[in-house]
Amino acid sequence: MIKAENLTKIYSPCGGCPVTALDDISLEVADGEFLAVVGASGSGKTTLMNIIGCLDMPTEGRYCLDGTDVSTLDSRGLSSVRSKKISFVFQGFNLIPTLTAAENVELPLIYRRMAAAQRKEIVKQALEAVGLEKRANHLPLELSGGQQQRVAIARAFASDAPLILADEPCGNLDSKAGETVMSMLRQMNKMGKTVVLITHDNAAAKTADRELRISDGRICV
Amino acid sequence: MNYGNFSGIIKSIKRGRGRSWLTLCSVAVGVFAVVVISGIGSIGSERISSTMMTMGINSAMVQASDEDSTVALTREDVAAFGRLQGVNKAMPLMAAMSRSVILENCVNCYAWGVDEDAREIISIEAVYGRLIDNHDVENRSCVCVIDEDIARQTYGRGNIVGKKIKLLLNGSYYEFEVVGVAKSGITGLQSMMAGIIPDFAYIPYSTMQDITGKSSFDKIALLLDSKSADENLTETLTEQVNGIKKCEGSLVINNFQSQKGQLTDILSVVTTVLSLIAGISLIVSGITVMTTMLVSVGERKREIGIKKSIGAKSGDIMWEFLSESVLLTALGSCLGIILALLCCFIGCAALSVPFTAPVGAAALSFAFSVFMGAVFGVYPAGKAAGMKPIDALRS
Ligand SMILES: Nc1ncnc2c1ncn2[C@@H]1O[C@H](COP(=O)(O)OP(=O)(O)OP(=O)(O)O)[C@@H](O)[C@H]1O
Ligand SMILES: [Mg+2]
Repeated sequence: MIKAENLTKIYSPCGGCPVTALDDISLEVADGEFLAVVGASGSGKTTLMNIIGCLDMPTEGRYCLDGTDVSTLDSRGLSSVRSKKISFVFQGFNLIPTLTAAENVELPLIYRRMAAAQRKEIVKQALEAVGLEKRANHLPLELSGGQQQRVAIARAFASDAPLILADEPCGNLDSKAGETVMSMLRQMNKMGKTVVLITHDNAAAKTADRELRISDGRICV
Repeated sequence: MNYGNFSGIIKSIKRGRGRSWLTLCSVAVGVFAVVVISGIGSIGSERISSTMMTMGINSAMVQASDEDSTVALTREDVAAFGRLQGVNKAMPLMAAMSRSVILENCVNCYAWGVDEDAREIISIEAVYGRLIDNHDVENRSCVCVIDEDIARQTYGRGNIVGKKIKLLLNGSYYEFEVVGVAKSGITGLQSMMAGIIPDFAYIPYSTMQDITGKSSFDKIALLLDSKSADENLTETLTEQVNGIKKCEGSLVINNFQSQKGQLTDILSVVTTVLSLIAGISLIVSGITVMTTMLVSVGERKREIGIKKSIGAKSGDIMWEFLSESVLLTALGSCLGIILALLCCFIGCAALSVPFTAPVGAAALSFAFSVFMGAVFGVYPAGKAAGMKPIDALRS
């Protein structure tokens, strides 16, 4: 699924000294694998996820997603790759605040120009899968943090992208809500999705197929 | 483009911030101003046209020009003018600014000395009682016909036939018996330009001559042949009447047609200028739209990031923001148009003027403000669309 070679990312903020966030990282993730990326704060986890998620380009290195060399794509091509292949679950503020849960789940399908009737059916299924069918017409503000994360997972489910990228999805949640979110990610993984989970919680990382530790932009172990 | 998300845009306006409403209102105010002003203008010129109709489009007035008032118009002139080619009838006319006193109420009015032909030549019409006839003229009797407006202002009703009124003529008050009440031809106009065009009172011209001590006439009213009533006729007639009186250009002919043209011209210039000034407020509201959209783009950075991360293309984001600003201005201008039409309607009802919707102005200002929405929306929308997903997410 993912094949990255010698990824390096150097941020050069204007008026500051350049920061090497990723330093020569190579990794491979197989289809259907559940990978946990662990590391201390500032170690470059989010930077890595942005590159894997085609939100950012590496300064150096090659990155192939599902056989496509991403560095050759323009912004239009990148968004189409994101639309077809990747779903994100961010730490918080995953949802559009003015849209209801159902509308949020529907959004990736709209961007994919799917017909309305088909969309409604998929949205219904996705919300049922995360146990939030009763909250379909609630706005994000009317949902708890855990429920919001579950809506984000439902959105990933609905968009049916083969790769799910979760950046600290349980970061703001208590252990119980966090556990629910984790179990849903595992469930998605069982359904054949590739999951890359970014976390600093070792316990959560243990449940993954494989752990990848990074520190100061380098892979250790 | 992604039209499926249209309802989402309406939702984002609706569920969105009070700011959207304020922006919408600023557009509405601008459109309201434009439509109301041109509405007033078109109603005004409508009134002028219809008023001039009732005043007799085929009439013209011969009078001494302002510079030379020594020319005296006589009975023979009336007869001579009446025989001219293109003139059907001529009538002597006396005119004086006056003041009427009815039941202790003073009303400024314009007194006309007329005869029986007034009905035809200057198109007056009796609502109650009768008009001045030749019998009154022969007897030099103190009878008068007044505008219905005067009756309503003083007695509070139209029919005051038989009442006595006093008219101030040549420095002193004379008592007249009201024998008729005439339809006020220019009610709407009069109330719109309160005081500028006074109400009228009609008395026999002979009585007026007695009071003012004149043996000549102030003016001669002509009823023109309707088929040949145009600019050329006025010119040739002017030459001819000056020829008859041998007074080279001292006599001028005013016809209502050209007066109407002048009035409507002035009105349309005023209306256009005011509308343009109001149109500037549309540009101002366009800038307001831009500000709102820019603030909104800044505020919704994260939202844009999420949308891009789940597969929105730049075009999708562009369309969302652009259609939001166009929708804002469209809704705003609809609101403004509705309010303006309502205002015009109420105004017309209050002035008892037939309601004509300023459709052209409404359509134009709608189109203009929507165009403004698009123009001023492009920059914020482009800014949103051009955002890099990571930059947008990192806020
Ligand atoms: N846009 C940027 N400009 C400059 N430096 C950046 C930028 N983004 C990240 N960095 C730097 O890159 C390094 C890695 O950042 P990153 O966000 O990937 O860390 P992280 O592992 O996700 O940390 P956390 O666990 O706190 O989220 C940090 O030192 C950070 O300061
Ligand atoms: Mg991070």
